Amino acid sequence: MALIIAIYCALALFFIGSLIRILRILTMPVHLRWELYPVPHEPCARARYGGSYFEETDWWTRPRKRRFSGEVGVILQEVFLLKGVWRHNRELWPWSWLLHFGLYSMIGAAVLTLAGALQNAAGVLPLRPNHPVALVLWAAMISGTIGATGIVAIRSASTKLRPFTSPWAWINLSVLLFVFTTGLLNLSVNPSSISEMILFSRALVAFRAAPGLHSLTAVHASSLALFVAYFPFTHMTHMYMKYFTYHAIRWDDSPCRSNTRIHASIEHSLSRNVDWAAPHILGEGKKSWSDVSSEGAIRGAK
Amino acid sequence: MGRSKLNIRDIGKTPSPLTSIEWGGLAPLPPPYDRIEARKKAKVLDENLLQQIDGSLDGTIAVGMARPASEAEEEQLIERFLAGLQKLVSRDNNWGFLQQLTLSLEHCTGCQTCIDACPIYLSSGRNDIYRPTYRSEVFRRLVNRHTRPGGRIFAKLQGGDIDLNARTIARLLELSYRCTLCRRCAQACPIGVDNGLIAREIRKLFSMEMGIAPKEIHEKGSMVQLRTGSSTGLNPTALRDNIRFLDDEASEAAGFKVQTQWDKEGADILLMHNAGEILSWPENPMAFAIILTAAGISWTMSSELAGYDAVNYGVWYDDAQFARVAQRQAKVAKGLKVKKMVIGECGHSHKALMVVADRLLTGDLNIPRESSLVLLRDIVRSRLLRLDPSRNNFPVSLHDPCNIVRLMGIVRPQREVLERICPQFREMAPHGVDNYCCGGGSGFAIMSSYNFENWRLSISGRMKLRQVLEAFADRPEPQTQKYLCAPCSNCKGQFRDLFRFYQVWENSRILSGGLAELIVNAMTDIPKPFIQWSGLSS
Repeated sequence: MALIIAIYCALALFFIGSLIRILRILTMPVHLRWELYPVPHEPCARARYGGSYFEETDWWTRPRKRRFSGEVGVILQEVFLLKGVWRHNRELWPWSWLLHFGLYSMIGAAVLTLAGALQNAAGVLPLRPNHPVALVLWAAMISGTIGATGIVAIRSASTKLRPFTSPWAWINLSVLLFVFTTGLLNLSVNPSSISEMILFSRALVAFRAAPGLHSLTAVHASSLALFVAYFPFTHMTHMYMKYFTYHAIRWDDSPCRSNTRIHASIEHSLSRNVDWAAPHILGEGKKSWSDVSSEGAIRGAK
Repeated sequence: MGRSKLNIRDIGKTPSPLTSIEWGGLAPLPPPYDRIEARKKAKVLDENLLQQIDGSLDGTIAVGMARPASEAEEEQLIERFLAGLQKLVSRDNNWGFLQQLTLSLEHCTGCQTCIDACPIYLSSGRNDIYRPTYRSEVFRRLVNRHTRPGGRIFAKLQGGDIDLNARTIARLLELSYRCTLCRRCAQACPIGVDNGLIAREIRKLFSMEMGIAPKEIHEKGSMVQLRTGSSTGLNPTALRDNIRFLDDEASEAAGFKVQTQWDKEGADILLMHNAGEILSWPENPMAFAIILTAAGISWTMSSELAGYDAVNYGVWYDDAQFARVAQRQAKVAKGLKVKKMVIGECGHSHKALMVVADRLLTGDLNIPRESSLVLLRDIVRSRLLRLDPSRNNFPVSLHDPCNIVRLMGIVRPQREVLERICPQFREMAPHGVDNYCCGGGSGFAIMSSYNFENWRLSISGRMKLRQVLEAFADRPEPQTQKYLCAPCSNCKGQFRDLFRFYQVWENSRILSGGLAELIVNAMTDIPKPFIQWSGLSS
């Protein structure tokens, strides 16, 4: 039961931690534009070469066409194929891709297992060997173990990467490696590992004590709980924070129009006080951005 | 270059300099430029100067921070720096860039995928301190250590505390001016981390909190612009005199009367050049005046303070200066009741006024703004001018200014013009949104203090020089005149210096100039060729 509670706590930490992180960014003031091209929601022909609506005559008079599918296409390539790493860092790509594939497969296996457990709890699905789960789990553990090992090796050996691999990054990699290797070991030496995991997930869904687990299954489940709890406090959150770096900044080309949310937020921000202390700023913590940008100029230029 | 063995913490520890530039280790240049460079001597900083100013980063000084005279002064310096760090992560003081900065500081995995996208890193022979990630990592550790709860633990987990002393601060300041803010690294980052932005935010901290910025950009730049109307120091009277003279020249060249309209209320277009064009590349504003007159466009220029200079150096280093200049420019346009503002051939002015200022110019100050490249494309397309491409029958290549292309997505209009009027137009590789910076971006083109010019030409401009030479590799001989179209004032400034330094005109006969000049050169109504080939760039 302790393991079941630990996993619930880990999931709670994961969701609360992630929510705080996301809300922190979401509640930040609307930023000034800082886009970077190509912007994939532009119409196909333009997105292909990185063009923007600024290429149109009197662009402000034309309806804006945003192609949501363009953004989705780029993000999918980035998430599942790691296209950026493929283009710019080929030596890292195989290991990074395997690690990411391992993580996605692990998530996939968890979803399949929990879905099965839920269906079972609802009486829809009888208890039977779960071949798809086994397949996905094997793929996850093999791929994740090779990927994490490869990244540890390349980060240890490469003079390019080693100086930028902090103790924290080593901890992250160690946790990942531990999760995958315990999972692989469990699958390899414990013949009932799959059915134990399925039974364990049923216990998890029903919030009741899990049946007796092989020590390796218990260690693997514990390592997973640790990883899930720890995840939102690391830079591994780029997995979902990418939405903001891409969609909300790199591709945010929305012009400021009156009576829009952007406009209202900017008006509010312009009323914030400026506290910067350099002599030319002349804000003194009392003047607003609006004052400083319109009135302070002449005095500031003396 | 001093290779690897990099330890991030060395920034506050190693006795000076942190790295030294081995000129023989730079990315190779093709002959004869390798030999020309070998003959040049790098300017070494005077020992007496180095007693007063910290040059301990790489033996180059761009800004020049005075060494503190006493421990008390050093402590004060550190306090001011820490106050700036706090403000950089505060909503009130940095609302405009807080989200971008936070995301970039918190999500870098250190994968170094971005580093080979940086032309400075590549040019330097891959010197570690010029990695886009290096300054960001130093800064990230300082932010985490000094602005976050549990900073001490963060510091340990991140690889150890960085000693915060005057040397660290001076080196970080200089490092923020070893990046042209071209954001090629950001484009390469799979996570969306923007190391160019971090460099800009560091500059901002120094300027807005500590009052430290390169004098060419601040004291002689944005401050002069706010006082006189232009960063060149041109006041309205001098401006009108200059333009009157240029109109006479343009009329003579065109064979018809060219007269710039001043402060014409209700004009369709308020044309805003980088005022540096008027002084340094007068053929560009002349070409615009000829084209607009010949095409019968309703246009005007402004003689109001800030209305005749599109530059806005604040975009590189200071949000307050940026907002002040942008507001004044928009107020001029509003006063003239023009239909739109058109930005001349100046890259950073494009990005400043059309993109970054977009969310600062609220209400009726948000006057429509358009690129002159679009206007020129429309004029050429509309056949309002009679153009003969055979007049431009010489090799032409196009430089993509980062601000206009990668940061704004204006890619095709300038190409459409060149494809129509330049039969020997050829692209560089890479080009468009993947272009290399000219090496003069983010103010570098106007920065030449101490020995910075040496670094700017040999290192930050190196990849672009190679690209330009490669683009004309099929016609390398000096007997063939070649034209490098660079529709941006800062880029042209960099090319002028770069070509002079490497004697490009003498050896390869490459001239750099704008787009408008090529259009006028192709106009059949103009009696003589408009482009003057007599070694202008050299």
